[in-house]
Parts: sequence; structure tokens; C-alpha cells
Amino acid sequence: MIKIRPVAAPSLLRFIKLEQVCTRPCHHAVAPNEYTDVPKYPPIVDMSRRAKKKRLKTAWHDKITKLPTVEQKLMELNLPKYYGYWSGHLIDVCPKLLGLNFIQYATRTHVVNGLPEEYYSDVKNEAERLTTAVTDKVEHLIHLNYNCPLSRRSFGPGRASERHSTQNFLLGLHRLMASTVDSTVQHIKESVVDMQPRVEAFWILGGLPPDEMLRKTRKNYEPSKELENDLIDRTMQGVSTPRLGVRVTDGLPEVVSRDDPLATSAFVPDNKLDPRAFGFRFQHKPATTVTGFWPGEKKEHSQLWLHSREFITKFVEEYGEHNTDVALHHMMIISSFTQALAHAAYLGFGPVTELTYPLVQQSAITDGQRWNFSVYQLNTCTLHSDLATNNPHNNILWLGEEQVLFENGVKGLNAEVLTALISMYLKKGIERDNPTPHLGSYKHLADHPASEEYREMFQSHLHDLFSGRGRHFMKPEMYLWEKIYKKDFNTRFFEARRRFFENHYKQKDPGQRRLDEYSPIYIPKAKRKDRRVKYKPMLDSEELYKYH
Amino acid sequence: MRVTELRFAQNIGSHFKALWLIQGKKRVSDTGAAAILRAKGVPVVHPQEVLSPAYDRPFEKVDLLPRLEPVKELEEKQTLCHVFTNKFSPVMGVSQVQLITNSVVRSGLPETVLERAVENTAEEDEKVKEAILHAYLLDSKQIKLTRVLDVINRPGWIYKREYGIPVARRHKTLTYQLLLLLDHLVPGAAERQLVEDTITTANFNHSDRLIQTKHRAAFILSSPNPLPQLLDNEEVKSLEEETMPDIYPLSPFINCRAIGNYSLEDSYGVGSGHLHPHTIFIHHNQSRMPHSEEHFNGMTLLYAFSHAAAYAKQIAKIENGNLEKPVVVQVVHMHKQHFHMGVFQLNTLNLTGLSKNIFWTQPWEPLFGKCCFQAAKPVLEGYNPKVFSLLKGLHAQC
Repeated sequence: MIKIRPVAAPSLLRFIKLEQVCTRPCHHAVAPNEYTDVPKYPPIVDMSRRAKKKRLKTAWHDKITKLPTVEQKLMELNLPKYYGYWSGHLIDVCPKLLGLNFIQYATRTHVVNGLPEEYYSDVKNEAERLTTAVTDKVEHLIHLNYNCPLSRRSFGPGRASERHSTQNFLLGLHRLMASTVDSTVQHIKESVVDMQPRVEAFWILGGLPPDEMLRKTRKNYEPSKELENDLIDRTMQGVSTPRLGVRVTDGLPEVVSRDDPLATSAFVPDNKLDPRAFGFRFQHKPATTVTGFWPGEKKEHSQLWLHSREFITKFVEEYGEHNTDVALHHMMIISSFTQALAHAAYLGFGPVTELTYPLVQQSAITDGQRWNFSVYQLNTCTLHSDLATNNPHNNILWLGEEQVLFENGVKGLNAEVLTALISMYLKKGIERDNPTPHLGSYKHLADHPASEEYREMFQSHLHDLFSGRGRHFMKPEMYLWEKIYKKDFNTRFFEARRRFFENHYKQKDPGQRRLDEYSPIYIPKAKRKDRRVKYKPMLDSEELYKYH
Repeated sequence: MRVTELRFAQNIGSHFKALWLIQGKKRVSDTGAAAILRAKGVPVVHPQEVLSPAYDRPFEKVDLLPRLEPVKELEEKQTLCHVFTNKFSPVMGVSQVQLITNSVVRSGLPETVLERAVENTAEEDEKVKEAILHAYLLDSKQIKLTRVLDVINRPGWIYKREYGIPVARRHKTLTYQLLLLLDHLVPGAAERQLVEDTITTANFNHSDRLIQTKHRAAFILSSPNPLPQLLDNEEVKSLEEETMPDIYPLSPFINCRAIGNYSLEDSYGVGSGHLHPHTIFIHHNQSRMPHSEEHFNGMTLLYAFSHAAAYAKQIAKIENGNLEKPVVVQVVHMHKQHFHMGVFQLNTLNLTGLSKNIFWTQPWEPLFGKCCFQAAKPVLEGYNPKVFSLLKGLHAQC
């Protein structure tokens, strides 16, 4: 091997064939032996477009997983889209007639008819004993709410009055239940009750077919021609609207183990259609995940959610009595999944971070008279890319039959309903070791080591994002006349190209604008700490705010 | 480049249509011909008297958007009535309301309440603080709040529009959570029933006028047993000698104009013969309070009176306006962090007679000083444990 040292005349080097390795400059430490016995090849990386895109995605997911606080993870999820994600809104009280299979696919839920009896076997005896103690009081409550004339303010037209009367009944019922189980368990005494909490969750759903526009774009662009029919991810926004939520310190224990066949290989329907085919609407919205409270509450886990069923009346009026189950299943699946996923997000898991233990949600839906109970076990929350279909786990919903608590006018309660409800109250949560493996020791922004000013700005930025307030300047749109006269049939070729869809030197796609792409905020001289620091630092998910 | 003329062609169609609309409405102008002919003796007849349409063309009235609920418009009555609603603000404060309700006021809650108002344990205080933090700060509901204006310190400054927890929601969440905590501390509290968002209406004759109270309560806590009488009949008799405040030249109905469209139906929130009022929770939900502590305290008395009187009119036996068995009602009036508590005994519905009603109260207490995020940390400062202990005292009465 000829070793050539780079000497005085640099022009010489141009004419010398430098096939071999040059010696290192003297001031670097030289490895004693540059050769190893076994060759250490660098990994062979798949350089196809598909693989490159997948690597970028995985890198982003890893970045989110490594962030130490809940708020930082939520902000990083929002960073790629300044104007929010165009997500499919799955609202629990807006069922679609043919959407049930899609809902099961979107939340990867397997539905089991009937509640899991073994889950409540340890509390059943106590529940039966307490039922006899509480029957009279429940009768008085029912008599007050459904037989006595209550003078209440008008709640407007439609089903609002039914919703409010159900809520009044549930408020009284919870008071009764809380005082009854007080003698037996401690956790209800310490619980906190949310009235009409705001529960929303964001997730990414894979395995969906590309729409016509995307297929055309891919076909017309050389590098992505082969990806024309590749399945895509769509973002989903779930909304749950319970009347009452009971929160406790410890999360409920699992119903079945995460490795049980019911949780790994149960039947979940497949889907080959765009969500819009079923009637679900897409809207621009930031990735919002809230679970009824901001991070910082001590009671983080839910014991029970109580819903009202007045929306089923409207659905049944339009589509018939035989479709009651469709509305019910739709509500319980979306509601429970949203609640469970929102809780998972607050524990450090999320749409790109897989769970390490299952989360269980108990719910009941009622109008005072008719009751349906359900238990939901969340085993997986990552449903992006091929995890929508090739997921080692699936979620499970146990939905009980409709039970009637009391008949109109006839005295005598159905004690089974009360027993089932009391069992749900009595079920005690368990403490897990390592409940938040993907969060730092400080978990929430409140204890983050960054400066106070940055923490305050970051939190208010996140709250602003979740508030749903409109921006001053909306997302730029292509007007119809522009589509006709500039895009489809370009009759205005002489005009200067200034718009976002026209090719020019500073063309920017508004859909690709990131949350941290904004002009730096100016600090007036009077408010500066350092005379020379004219601008506030820019949003950054790892360091909260950073000067670039 | 060819120069083309500016045409504003987009307006042509609408211009054309507008002309048709305008010129289509023919107005028949009087040419004076009919008058001249009549003067010459020629009979002139209006064309519609001779001509008639070839066939009947009935126009079908179609209700395109059916009304969901028929809007009941109250007819104007001859006798005017002073209607006191939640938005009424007594100009002279408690004195004015004393004259309206014929009540006597005692400063300080009754002994029976104060002796049950024990000190809080550390555990109870922690739970109340948690309830406050959740209701006022950590609830994730985000609704557009009313504008913030500081006309005195920063006139003209436009504050950032906040999205957060509305005042009504804060009050509701806190009250319900506090009620749950109180239920654990008092045995037999499970027997009591709670009704949310009630309207209570009652009509009375006061001097020569008709008055009506129409009040919304956030919660009415009712109990199967009525609250015991605090003053026995002799003590009630002795109240007759007490003097009422004089607010001359103002009338007791100042700031409440008499109106003609009212309805004379009485209603009490909880229309059950087996339940008697225990505590009324009133939430003042206007974010900017138009009145001071004096007015706020006056309203508490009025709320107590209206609920006690509406209940009495439905259930109790009344002779010449005096109640055989006086009705006792407790009231808790809230606004943001201020709690004003009172106990009211209704002895008579005769608002101009000698017999008087009695109201025990004390100045309002703030529950806390400041509750906000400081550097993303939830912070509660100036917590006052007295409020919860007084609530315990009120809740323990049976």
C-alpha cells in the first residue's frame, strides 16, 4: 500500500492518484491495529423510498417515546402540523348506521356479549349484601326523579331536558353509592367526581386505502410511482361525553392477561374503505388528548364512567328500533377507547408508544330506567402503519345486556342492576411497579428542570392549542376560480406566481408547515432582560424553548 | 399585448335581473282621465268590479320550519307586579330586603350551627384543597370566557381572550364535591335528596302591591325531616317589637320595576310532600359582579325567603299569613371564592304585619385567596378552613 503524505504543494495532490488511504495527521491518536479478525460491516440499509419513509416515521416515534414529560409528548405529536391534523372525528353520541365494523377496526376492539363474571367474583357477595341495604333509598330517589313534579329551569328544545334529568338522577345515585360502599372500601371515600368531563383522544390509524387524489399524485411523481396503492395512515380524533366520571388513585386490575388468546388473537373486523364512506367527517384540529383534567391531579385513574342514552332515541327514530344495538355499541366502543387512550397518554404511552400493561375502564349507560354495563380492556394503543392489522394484541369490550331497574309505576326494583353497579364501585385498583416506564422521574411539566418562564410559556402554548381557538390567519386555501383558471385550465400564465400552489422560489406548502415554523416573537426594549436578546426563543419539544 | 376594455361583466346578469324586478312592479298612476270623465257625466267603474279571475287560486300556507315548542307569550295584565329575579340587585342592601321580606337580621349564625362547626382535620383540609384545585384550575374544559376589562388600572388595554372553565361550572363542580365530602362526615346524610337547577316562583301581596320572586337555585338539598324551629313561639312573639330599618325616601321596591307580563303560577323546586328544604345552594354566575358585599348579602336573604315561602305555600298551614309551624331553611350563596351562609326562619307570610321573620347570618368568607398555575405548577394560596367547618355545621343540622 502506497502511503502518500500531503506535502507542501497542494496542487501536486490533484495530479496524484489517491487510491490508497492517506496517513492521518500526527496530532490524532493512531489505532494500534486498524484491522480486526472478523469484518465489522455496517448494517445494510434498505435504500428504497418505502424503507426510507418508514425509518423517518420510526425515528419520530422514538423521539416522542424518549421525551420525559406528558406535555412534551403531546406537543411533539402536534409539531408536524401548524394548522392541525385533518382527522376523522369519532364522536360517541353520533352513531353511523353502517359504521360499526369500521369502529371496531379503528379501535381494534373485539366485542364480547355479557360482562366478565369472574372479574367481579371477589366483590359479588359484598355487593349483594349492600344492595339490600340501599334498595329503599334508591326507591326514594327514583320516586323523586321520575314521579314527583320537579320545577326545573328550561333546558331548551330537543333531548337536553332528558339529558339533564338523567344527570340529576345520576348525581343523586352517586351520592347514595358513595355513602353505601364507604363502610367497606377506602378508595371511593378518597375519589374525585368529574361532572361532564371533557375527554378527547388522538390516535393514528393505519391500513387505510389511499384516496383518488393521493393515488394520482403518487402516479404522477416518478419516485413514488411504485407506492401508488400503498395503504396510508389517517389521524383519528375520538370524543367521549360522559355525565359523570369517578376518579381514584389506583388503576383497575386487568380482566384477562395481555397474553391471553382473547387479547391477542380475537376476531376484529377488517376494513378496506375510507372512513368517509361510513359518514364520518374529517376536520382540521390539533392532536388533542385530554382526560377531564390537566396533568397534575393526584387521582389519575378512572373507576367508573356514567353516560346518558338520550341520543339513541334520535337514532332509533331515523333508523328503527332494531338498530338500537348499533348506537349502543358505537357509543361504548368509542367512549371507552377514547377514555382509555387519554389515560394511557397521561401515563406516558400514546398513539406511537405501546402499552406495557393493560388499562381497564368500567362504564354504565342509562336513562335511569334502562341500564347497560360495560368493561373495556385496552391492550394496545399503537394502531399506525401495519399495526392496525398485524398487531400482536387487540382490545376487548365486554357489553352486558340491557337491564331495567324499575317498571313504570310498579313498585319493586331489579336488585341485579344495583348489585352490578355496586360491584363496579367496590372493584379496587392495584398499584403497579413502574407505571410510567416512558416518563422521566418528574413526569409532568410542573417539575421539569427548565426555567420557570419556559415552563409557563410551554404550558400556555399547549393549552392554547387544545382550546380550539381559531387562528388569526386561517390555513391558505385554493379558491374555486384559482382551481379553474390557474390549476386545471391555466389561462392566467402571465400573472406573477405568488400563491402556495404555484411554483416559485419561496413556495411553501401550508400542510407541511410545522408548529415551530413561525417568525420569532419580538421583545420590546422595555421588557428585555438582556439588551441584545431581541427575540424570544423558538418552540422545541426537547428543551421547551431554544435559540437557534 | 392587446389592450382590453374593463367590463365588470360579473354585474351584467344581476343588473338585468334587478331591472326586471323593478320594472315588473307596475304602478298605475292617476292620469286625471277618470275625474274628467266623471265631470262630463260618463260612468267610470273600477276594473276589479267588472272583471274577475277566471278560476279560484287558493294559496296554500305551508309551514316550512315547524316550531319545536310553541312560544308562550304572556299577555299583559292590568295589575302590575314586581318580579324579583336572580338579576335583581337591592340598592340599599340588606335593609331593603328586610323591608321586602318583613325580616329581622341577627349578625352571627345560630348557636346550633356554630357548635357543630368543628375544626377540620388535616385530611379534610387536603381533600377540600384538592376539590378547589380541580374545580377552579385543573378541570380541562375549555370554553371561551367573557372578556377581561380593567378600566381603572389599564384603560383601553385589550387582554388576551381566555379559554377556560366558566364560572357556573366551577361553582357546580366545587359544590358537588364539597357535598360528597360533607356526606361522609355526617351520618344519615344519604337520606337527603339533591335536585339540580331548580326554579322557584311565589307570589305575595305587599302593602298595596303584588310581588313575585322567581329564583333559580343551583342545588336544593332536601331532607325527609324538616329542620327544627330555632325560635319557639314566645320568642317569635317578642320579635314583633323590633323595629324595621327605614330607607326613606326609597321604597322597598327600588330597582325593581313593576311589569305587566307575568304569570301567577306558584312553583317550588322540589314538589314532593315528603321532602322538606334543608339547604339551598345559590350560585351567582355573573363573572363581573355588579354589586358589593352588602347587596350580595341582601340577595341571600331574599333567596332564603323565596324558597321558604314557596315551600310553605305548598305544604304548610297558614292562618292570616302566620304559619302554624315556622319553616327553617339554610342558604349558601356563592360567588367565585366568596361564601355567604345564612339560616332563615319563616314565621309569617304577611309582609306588612307585626309578626316578623328572622335571618341569622355573618359576613361572607373567602374560601381561598389565589388559585392559579405558577410556572406550570398548580398553586393554591390563602386557603381558609373556616368555610368548610361552617358548612359542616350547616350540614349537621337535622
